[in-house]
Amino acid sequence: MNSSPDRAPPTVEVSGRGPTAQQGEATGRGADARSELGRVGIAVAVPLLTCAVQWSLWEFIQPYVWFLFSPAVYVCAYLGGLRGGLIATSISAFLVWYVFMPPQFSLQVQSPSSLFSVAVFIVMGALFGIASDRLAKARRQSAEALAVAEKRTREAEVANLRVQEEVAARVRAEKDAERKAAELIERQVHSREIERWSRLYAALSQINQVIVRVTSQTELVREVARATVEFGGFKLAWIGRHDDRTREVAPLACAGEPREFVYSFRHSSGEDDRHDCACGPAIRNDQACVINALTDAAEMGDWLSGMKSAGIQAAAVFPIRVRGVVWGVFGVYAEETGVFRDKETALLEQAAMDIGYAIENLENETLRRQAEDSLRTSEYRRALALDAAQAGTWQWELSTGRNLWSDELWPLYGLTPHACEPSYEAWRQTVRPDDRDAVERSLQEAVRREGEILLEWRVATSRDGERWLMSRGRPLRDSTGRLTHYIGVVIEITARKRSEQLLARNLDAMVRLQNLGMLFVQAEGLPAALGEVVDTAIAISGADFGNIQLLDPATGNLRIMAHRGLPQQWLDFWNSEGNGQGSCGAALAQGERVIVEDVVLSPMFRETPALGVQLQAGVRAVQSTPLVSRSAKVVGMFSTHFRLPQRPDRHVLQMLDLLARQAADLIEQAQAEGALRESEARLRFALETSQTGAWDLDLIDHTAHRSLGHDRVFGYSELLPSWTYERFLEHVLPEDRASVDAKFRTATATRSDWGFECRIRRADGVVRWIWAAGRHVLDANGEARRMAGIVQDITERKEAENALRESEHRFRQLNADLEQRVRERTVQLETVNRELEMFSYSVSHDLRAPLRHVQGFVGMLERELGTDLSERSRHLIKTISDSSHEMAVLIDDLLAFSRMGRQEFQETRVSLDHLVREARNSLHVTPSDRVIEWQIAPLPTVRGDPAMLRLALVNLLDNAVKYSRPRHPAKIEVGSAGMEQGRVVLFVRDNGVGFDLQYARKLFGVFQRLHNSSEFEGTGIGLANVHRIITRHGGRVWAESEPDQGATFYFTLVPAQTESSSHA
Amino acid sequence: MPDPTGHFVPIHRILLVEDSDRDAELALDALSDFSMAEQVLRVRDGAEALDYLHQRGCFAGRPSGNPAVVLLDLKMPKVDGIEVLRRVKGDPELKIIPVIVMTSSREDRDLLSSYQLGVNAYVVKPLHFKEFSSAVKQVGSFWGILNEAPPGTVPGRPLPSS
Repeated sequence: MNSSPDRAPPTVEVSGRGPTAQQGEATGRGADARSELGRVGIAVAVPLLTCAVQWSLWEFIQPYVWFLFSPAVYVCAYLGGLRGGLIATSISAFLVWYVFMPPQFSLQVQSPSSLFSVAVFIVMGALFGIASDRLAKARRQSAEALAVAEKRTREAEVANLRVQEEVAARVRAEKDAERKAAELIERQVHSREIERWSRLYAALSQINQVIVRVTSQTELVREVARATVEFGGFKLAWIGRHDDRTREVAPLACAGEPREFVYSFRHSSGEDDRHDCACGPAIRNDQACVINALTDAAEMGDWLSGMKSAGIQAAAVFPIRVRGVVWGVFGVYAEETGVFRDKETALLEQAAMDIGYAIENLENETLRRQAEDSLRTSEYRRALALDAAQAGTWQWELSTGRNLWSDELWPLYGLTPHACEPSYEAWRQTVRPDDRDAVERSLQEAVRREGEILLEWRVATSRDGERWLMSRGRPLRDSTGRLTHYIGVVIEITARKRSEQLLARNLDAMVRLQNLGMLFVQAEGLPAALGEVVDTAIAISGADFGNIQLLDPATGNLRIMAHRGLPQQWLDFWNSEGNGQGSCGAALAQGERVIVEDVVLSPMFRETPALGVQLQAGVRAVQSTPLVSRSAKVVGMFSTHFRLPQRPDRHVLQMLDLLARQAADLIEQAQAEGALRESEARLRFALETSQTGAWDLDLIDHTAHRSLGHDRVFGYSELLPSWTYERFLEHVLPEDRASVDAKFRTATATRSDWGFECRIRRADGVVRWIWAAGRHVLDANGEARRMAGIVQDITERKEAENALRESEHRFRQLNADLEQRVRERTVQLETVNRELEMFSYSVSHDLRAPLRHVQGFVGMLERELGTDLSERSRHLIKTISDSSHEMAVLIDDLLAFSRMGRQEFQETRVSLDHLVREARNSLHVTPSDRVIEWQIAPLPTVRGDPAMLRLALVNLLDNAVKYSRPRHPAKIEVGSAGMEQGRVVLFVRDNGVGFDLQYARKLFGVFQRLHNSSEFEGTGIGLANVHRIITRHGGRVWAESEPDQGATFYFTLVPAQTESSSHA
Repeated sequence: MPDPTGHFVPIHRILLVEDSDRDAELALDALSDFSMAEQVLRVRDGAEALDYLHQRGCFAGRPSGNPAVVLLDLKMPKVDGIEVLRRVKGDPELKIIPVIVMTSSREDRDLLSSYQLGVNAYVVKPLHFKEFSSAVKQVGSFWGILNEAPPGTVPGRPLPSS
C-alpha cells in the first residue's frame, strides 16, 4: 500500500455542500429553447449525414434506396419528436428522390412504385414522429409528477424535522423548568442556611461586645450564655467550669431551657461517665464534640433523655481553653437536627476561644487589681500602725552608762519588765545578731558627732516572727554645753517594713505578670524569637548560614543578635571593623534588600578584608533583608548565606519579605515591651522615693496639722503656717473637686473612711495625681472630731498605668494588623502559586506538541525516502530527532523540578531501607553488560515526605549508576555516616569518574553540568532537585570527590526515633 | 448512503477531536494502515465535537448514529476536552459512547478529572513517531474494529481484504 505525504487526507469539509435540487430545476427550464434548436439541427443533419454515408456505400447497398434513411428518420423522430420527424422525413424523401432514385440526380420519376415508396416513407415518418412525440410528452408528464411528489416528500420531511425540533425544545423547556424549581428549592435551603448564619454572626458579635464590656467572670459567662440563646436562636447554652481534680464540671451560667436540668445534672469528664454524652468527650479530647442528631447517639442515658424530652435534637460542646489548658466547656443545644455543620461549628469554636481569652484577661486584670488594692491597704495599715504605735522611752546617761527604760520599752525589746538591769549591753543583746554591727556603728557615729540617733533594727528574740524597731534619740547637754544624756523613743515599725516589702513584692509580681503576658503572646522571649527568625529565614531560603542584627538607634550600628553556623571570627569582624560594610551595610543604607550572588565576583567585596572573612567562613552568596517596621523605621536586618553562588528565587524573596515584616513587628513589639518595663521601674522608684505626707484634720473648723511631706506633695518646700480643708479643695482640679468633696461629706456623715484619687494643681503650677485616705479619730467621749490620714503623690504610677494600657492597646492593634497582613499575603501567594501552576500546565501541553510534530514529520519523511537515504541524510535526520528528544526530556525534568517546589510537604515516618529498594527498582534499565556491585547498609527510619525523598534517592542512585559506567565492575555504596546536629548523615558513594571539587559549587544548581552530554547524558536538574528536597527537609547536601576517584554525595535527615522519643 | 440532499456521506466510525492540524495529519497517517482514515471525521474543537454528537449546528443534517469511539484532545480552544468529556458523560444518551483522551501530557489533575468523569481510556501521545503511530493504530484498531460498539453506533463496513 502506497501512501504519500502530499496525498490529501480524506476528510469531510464541514462547510462544503453541493448545489440544491431547486437550483437544478431552474437551470433545466432555461435550457428548453436550446434543446428545441438542437432537435431541428439533428433533424436536418442526420438525413444529410445518412445521405453521405449511403452515397459512399451505394455500391453495396443499391438498389435499396431507403436502406439507411428509414433508421435515420426513426432516430430523428425519437430525438426530435413530431417536428424533427417531419423535417427529417421531408429532407430524406427529397434526398432519396433526387440522389438515389433512378434516374439519379433528377427529380423525375421513373416508376409509380417509386412514387408510392416515397409516399409510404413520408407517411411512416410522420406517423413515427407523432408516436415519438406522444411518448416524449407522456415521459415528461410522468417526470414532472415524480418531481412534484419528491418535492412534497421533502417538504414533509422538513415539516417532520421541525416537529422534532419543537418537541426537543419543549423537552428542554420542561427540563429548564425542573432545573429552576430545583434551584428555587436549593435557594430556599440556602436562604435558611444564611438566616442561620446571620443569627450565628449576630450571636458572635454580641459575645464579642460582652467580652469587651464585662468586668467579671460571672457577668461574662452569664451574658455569653444569654447572647447565644437570644441572638443565635439556640434552645439552650451553658458554660461550665471543669475541675481537674474531681473531673466534675460545675455549670456557671445557663440560658434557655431546660435550665434547671443543666443545674441539677452531674456533669463530669471522667472516662466512665456515661451520662453527659458531649461534655465529657469535649474535655477529654480537648476538641469540639458535635452530635447533630441526638437519636443517633449510641446510648440514651439520663442526660440524653432529659434533653430529648425538652425538645433538643442537636448538641455541640466546645472546650474553653485558658492559657492553653482546658478550663471548662461551652455547650450549645438546638431544636433542629443537623444544624452544627462545619461552618457553624467553626464559628462557635471561635466563640469558645474568645471566651477563653476573655477569662484569661479578666484573671490577669483581677490579679493586677488585687496587687494594687493590697498596695493601698498596706499603706493604710502602715499609717494606722504608726498612729497606734506604743512608743517606749529611754534615757541614757553617757558618763555612767546607766539606762532608764519606760515600762512600754520592755515588751518592745521582748523582755519581761525589770527582769534585768537596763543597760547598753542589755539592749545590745536584744538586737538580732545580723543587725548588731550595723546598729552599733551607726549609734557610735551619732554619739561621736553628738548628733541625733536614728536606728532601725530587728529584735533578736521574738515568738511572733520578725519584728522591726525604730529608735530616735536626742542629745541633752548640761549648762556648760557638754553632752551628758541621750533621751529617746522606740517604736515598732514591723507593719511599715512589711508594707514596704509587700510593695516591692507586688511591683515585682506586676512586672512578672506583664512579662508573662508578653511571653505568652509571642511564645518566648526576644532572643528566642530572634533565633526563631533566623531559623525561619534559613529554612525559607535554603541557606547554609544566617544571622539577625538589630539596629542600635543611638549609634546607628547593626549588632548581631542571633546566628546559625557562623564562626566567632566572622561574628567579631562584622560586629567591629566590618560594621556598616558588606551586604548588610548596603541594605541598611538603601533601606531595601541586597543580594550578592557571588561574593568573589561582587564589586561590593572586591579587594576588601570582608571577602576573606566571607570565604573563610564558607560564604559564597548572601542576601540581606532589612527589617522595616510599621512606622517605616528600619529596626534591624537579617541575612542568609549560602556555600554556593546563587540567587534566591522570586518565591523565596516574597517569603523572606513576609518574614521580615513579621520580624520587624515582633521586634518593635518587643522593644515596646522594653520601654514598658522601664516605665515600670520608674514607677517603683517613684513609689519608693515618693513623699508621703500625714495630716490630721479638725472636723469642726477644718484646720489641719500636717507633716512637711504633706505640704511638699502640694508643691510647698516649707511647712505652711496654716492649712484647711478648703485650701486643699482649691488645689484639686475643678473637674475633680465635686466628687472629692462629695466623698468627704459622705465619709464624715457616715463616719466611714475617706479615700480617693484625684488630680491637683501644685503650688508650682504642675498638675499631679494624688491619693489620700483618712479615718475618723474618736476622742475620749467616743465622738469623732478629727480625721487623720495620709496623702501620696501617685502621678508616676498613674502614668505607668496609662502607658501600660496604651501599650496593651497598641500591642493588640499590632497583632490584628499582623494577622490581616498575613492573610493578605497568603492570598497573594496563593494567587501566584495558582498562576505558576497554570503556567506549568500550559507548558507541559504546549511545549511538547511541537516536538512531537518534529518527530512525527521527520519520521514520515524518513519513511517516504525509504532506502534511498544517503548516510549523510540519515545523520541529519537523526540529529533533528535526537535534538527534539533531548528537549522533551529537558521539559519533563524542568516541570518535575518546578512541581517539586510547589508540592505540599507531607511529613511522616519514612523507612530509608524500603525507599532505597524502591528507588533501585525504578532506575532506568541498565544494559546487561553493566556489572554493578551494590552495597547497601541497613538504613534508619527518618521523618520526611516519602514521595520527595524517593525522588531524591532515585536521582542520586541514577547519577551513581551513570557516572560509574566506565567501571567494571561499578561499585555503588549506600549507608549512613553518624550524626550531625541531631540529624543522621547518609551517603551514596560510587567508584565512577568523579569530578573536580573546585566545580562542586555548580553541582546543585539547575542546568549545571560537569560533564558534556556526549560523555554522559543528562539535563542538570537531578541534583538541583536533590538539593531542593533535602533543603526542604531542613537538611543539607554536599559532595566529596576527585576526578576519576569516584564521588560521594552526603545528605542529612531528621531520624524518626528522636522525634518519637521527644514526644514520649 | 445518500442524505436528504442527495449527497453521499461516508460512514464515520471515529470522531477525532483535535485542534492541531499537524497532530490530525499524524493521526490520520497512522490510521490509514487499516483503511480507517476514511472512517474518521475530524473536528477542530470541543464545540464542534458537541455539535456533531448532538447533530446540531452544521451537523444538523448528518445521518444519525453515534461514532464507535471519540478520540479527544484535552487542550483545545473554545470548549476544552475535559468539558466535552463532562458533557458527553453527563448526557444519558451520549454517555455510552467510548471516549479516549489522547493528550500531550500526563498531568495528575487531568488524569484524575478524566477518570472521575468516566473516560474509557487515557493515552499520552508518545513523542517518537513510531511509538505515536503505533499507539494511534492500537487505539484505532481496538476501538474502531475489535471492540463491540454500543447500540446506536453507526454500522461499520466490512474491511477491505487488503
